[in-house]
Amino acid sequence: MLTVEAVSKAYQNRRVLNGVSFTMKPGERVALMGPSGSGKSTLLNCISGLDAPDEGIITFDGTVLTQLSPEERTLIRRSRLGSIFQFFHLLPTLTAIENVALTLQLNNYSRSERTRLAMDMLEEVDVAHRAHAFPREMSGGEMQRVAIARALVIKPKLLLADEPTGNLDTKNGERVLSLIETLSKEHEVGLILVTHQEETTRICHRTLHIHDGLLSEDTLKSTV
Amino acid sequence: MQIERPVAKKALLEVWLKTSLRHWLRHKLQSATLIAILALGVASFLSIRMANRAAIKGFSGFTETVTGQVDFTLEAQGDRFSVSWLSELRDSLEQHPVELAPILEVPALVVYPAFEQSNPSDLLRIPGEPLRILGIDLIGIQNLNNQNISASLLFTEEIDEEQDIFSIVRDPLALFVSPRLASKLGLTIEETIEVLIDDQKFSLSVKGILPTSRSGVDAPKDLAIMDLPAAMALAGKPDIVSRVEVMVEADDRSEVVLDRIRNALTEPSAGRWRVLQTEQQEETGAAMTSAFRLNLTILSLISLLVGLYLISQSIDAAVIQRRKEIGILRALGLIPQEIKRLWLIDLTVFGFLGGIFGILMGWASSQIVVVAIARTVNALYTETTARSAQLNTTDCLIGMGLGIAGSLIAGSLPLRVATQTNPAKIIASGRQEIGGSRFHYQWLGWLLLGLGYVSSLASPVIFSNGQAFPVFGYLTALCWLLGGALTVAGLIAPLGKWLHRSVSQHLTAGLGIGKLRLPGNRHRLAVSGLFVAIGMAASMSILIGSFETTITHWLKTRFQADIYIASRAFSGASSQHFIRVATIEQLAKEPGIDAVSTQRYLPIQFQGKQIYLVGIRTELVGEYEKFLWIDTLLDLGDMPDEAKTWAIINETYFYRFGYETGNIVYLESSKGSHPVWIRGMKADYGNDQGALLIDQKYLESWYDVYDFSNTTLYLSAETDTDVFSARLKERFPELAIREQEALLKNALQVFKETFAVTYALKVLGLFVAVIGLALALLNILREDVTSLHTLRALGVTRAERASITAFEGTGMTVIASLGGILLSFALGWLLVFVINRQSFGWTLQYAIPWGDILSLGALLIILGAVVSWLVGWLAGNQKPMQEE
Repeated sequence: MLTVEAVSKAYQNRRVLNGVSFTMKPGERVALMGPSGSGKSTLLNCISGLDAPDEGIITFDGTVLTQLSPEERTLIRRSRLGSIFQFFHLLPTLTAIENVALTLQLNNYSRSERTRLAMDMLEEVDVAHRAHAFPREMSGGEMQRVAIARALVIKPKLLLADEPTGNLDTKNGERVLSLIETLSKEHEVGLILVTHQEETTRICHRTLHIHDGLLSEDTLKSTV
Repeated sequence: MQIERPVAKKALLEVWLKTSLRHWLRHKLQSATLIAILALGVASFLSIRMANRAAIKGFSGFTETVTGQVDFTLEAQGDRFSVSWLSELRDSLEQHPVELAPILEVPALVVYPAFEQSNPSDLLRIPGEPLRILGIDLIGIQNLNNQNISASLLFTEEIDEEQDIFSIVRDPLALFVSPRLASKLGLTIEETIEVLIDDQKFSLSVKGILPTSRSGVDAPKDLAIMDLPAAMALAGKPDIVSRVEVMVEADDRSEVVLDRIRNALTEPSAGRWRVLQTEQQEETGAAMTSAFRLNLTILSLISLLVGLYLISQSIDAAVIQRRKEIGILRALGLIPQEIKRLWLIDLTVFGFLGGIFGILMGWASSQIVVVAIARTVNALYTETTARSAQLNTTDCLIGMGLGIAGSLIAGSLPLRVATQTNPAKIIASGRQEIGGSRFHYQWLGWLLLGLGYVSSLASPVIFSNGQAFPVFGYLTALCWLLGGALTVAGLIAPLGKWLHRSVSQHLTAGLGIGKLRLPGNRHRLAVSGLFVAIGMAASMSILIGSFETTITHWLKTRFQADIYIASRAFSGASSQHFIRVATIEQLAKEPGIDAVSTQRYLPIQFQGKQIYLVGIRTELVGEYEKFLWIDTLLDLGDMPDEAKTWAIINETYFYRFGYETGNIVYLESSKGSHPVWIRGMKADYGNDQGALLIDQKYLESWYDVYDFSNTTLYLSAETDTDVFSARLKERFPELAIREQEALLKNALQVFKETFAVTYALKVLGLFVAVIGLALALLNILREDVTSLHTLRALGVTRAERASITAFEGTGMTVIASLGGILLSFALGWLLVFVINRQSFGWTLQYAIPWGDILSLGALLIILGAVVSWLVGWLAGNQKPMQEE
């Protein structure tokens, strides 16, 4: 489903990614670990199409991302990728249901479908009761669950989660992690989970370690 | 544990040098823009201040440059001081050490060939170089004690030989001109120049160039000197002078001595002349135009105010840009107070630099503005000679003060944001929501709107010279602007929700308008700024529209004669260029004329204030002379017996003095007090000092005035106007002869030129509104850059992101425009019925130029949409975070 081949990227003469290569099968969950400045977010940005590598090829769901223009990559991201962020990044001026429905609207769903699917998804992540609340009125855990709903509502092929529990307390972090695992399994969505915490990687099939732009791979997790 | 606080000043300065200074040096365009905005605000205020002063100085400072130290000036009604009174004065002053210098001021025009060919019907061009010939007793002035005429321009090295003086006196056409005029026209000694005085042309001989005075004062360019009898002959006034200057030649100049002399000057007067002390005379000139100048000053302050709005937005942008840096400094141990100090240094430096550039720009633009202001003062009050404005230390200090104060005031809100920066949040996320209820006081908005209305009912403040200043009218405007801004800011959320309902189906419109459901302070500030800008610009349109409608109607009623004639040098009611009796008699003999009407504007003092007494031919009123009546004429049979004659007053006179139709007023002249019955009141939009129209024969018998300001001819039906006019122009080349149609066209052109400054204000308003909107949107996007990244991550394209911002900005503009147009109706009402009426005493018809206002609103909305889209497009280009 995802193939990353010899991807390199430099910022201002500093090599952030140095010939990174790996592949992912459909529905596979991969953890990406590494210290600060190791290139995790850059790699994630290249996969999501937010950024383009200087060298190398990224193929996602049969499409060579690296051959596409920024606008074409945006359209791929809109329909086939879901993203979750450490700071939730809900649009502050939209309610919970509007935030979730937004990605559906981007994919031209009708109004009734948008409302129904968004509500179903909010129920799935257990925040349906907060559907009409604005982000400032919600707790961190609730916001992250809405963000998960927003990411999954379009049924993406791949979910990119950048430190999804990094801004939550342990209890909420646990709940969010379980939710990601469950939904990823139920919807058969592939997952790249960027994290600092070793215990978070337990929901993934394998862990990739990145250091100074170079990638090394762990063995398969027995627990998964 | 001892905590050392605060950071030493030197250390703080070093921090500033390494952070702020480097930031501003790196962002040169941003720094230059901030300084330029500040400089513009300071410049507009200073230029109007300097130009005002120059225009006033043009006439008040004239006397002292001629005879030096003048202690008293004697003036008679209508500037007609009879020479025969001088002997009475000398008798009364026998015991006192004083010298009298009678002066006749003769306005003239140097005609040079280029102007001869210019279009004579062009009212806006004076066809030559204006000149003020002062007729003074050249021999008499030689005998004055030189210590007392230290500032005198005359009789230094070049012409101090007695023989020279006599040779000049023998030549009735000898003239001294200023060095600047000589240099401009390339004049040399003994050269002859053509000069127009009233409706006569003379050839005068340049006998000398006025030297610079001993005190270093340069002669004004338009000053020329002649011997008094020669000037009297030229002006056709053999026994009249304009004023008499009195110089005390005593070592003891105590108050007691001056009082005694003042009494000796006043005693023989019997109401024929008044005695003014020099300071008093200057004050008269200044007070006369005080309301006008105050109005201009307020306009310049408004431009400073809109400047502050832009500065505030720009500094806000800088705070957002440097928020991370502020967070780091806070994390490193700087307390909010120290952050505030760092920013205060920034603001002071900007204020200082803005002040310096503003002073320079202000000086430069005042050289242009002075001409426009002098023209208005000339038309409305008295002739001035101002051509250039001088910069003094006070101006520099005011400029610097305004620059620094403006910068500090405008920066206060962003400064508050800077000091509230939470270092933990900033460092963690790079952003921080800034709360604030500053604009949540909707109740205060409604209260201010109500207070404004109450204030509009109050009477104006009256100056000592009778000029009214509508201080409460301006207060109302301020209340409505502030109150309206608070109210409209509070309406963004409900209107945003309402608008969102109808566009929520559309992706970008829904997202853009949706943001207005939860507006931040930046939204509120931007909408308030837009609201004020469009409100002010549209209210100007209403004022101009009301003026145009009223004036067009007035002009069409007023200008019904076929031919209008004045001296070619005539430039308004205050002009001293007249048509002489002989010329009128010649004109009247021309075949094809039904009636000849004349007007003579005579400035007189009425209850200590200047008004115009206008001599007309009353027998022509009604059949030929048409007025726009406020009160139609009463029956002549109702005239009380005590009245000697009747008069028509204009509306301004009624507002200034409270006399109305049916009252009796007393006019003072050297011949006594004359009761006059007010028979009717007319609208008059050419005079803001008050006018009283009486029959010309009373001007002759009471004031000895035998000439005319202008004349109008009513031609018989069979006379061809063009042929008649062409013949007249040929026969009377020194007269400006204009046909009705051309005059009407020119009058409307003058009107439009007079209001040119308001068009400039409209453009300024629109410019500020659009730039303010762009800055605000940029700040909103920078403040919430994460949302932009999120949208990008969710797959929203750059064009779609720009479109979202465009809808957001357009929504704001629509709300502000609707509110602003409503505000303009109220401000227009205030300008027409309160401020204008109280300032000038004119009633206008309230007219809303719908085309103008709607196009203004539409233009603003289109500009708002385009600018917002551009801001969204540019901001949407930001790269994702590159920390790792």
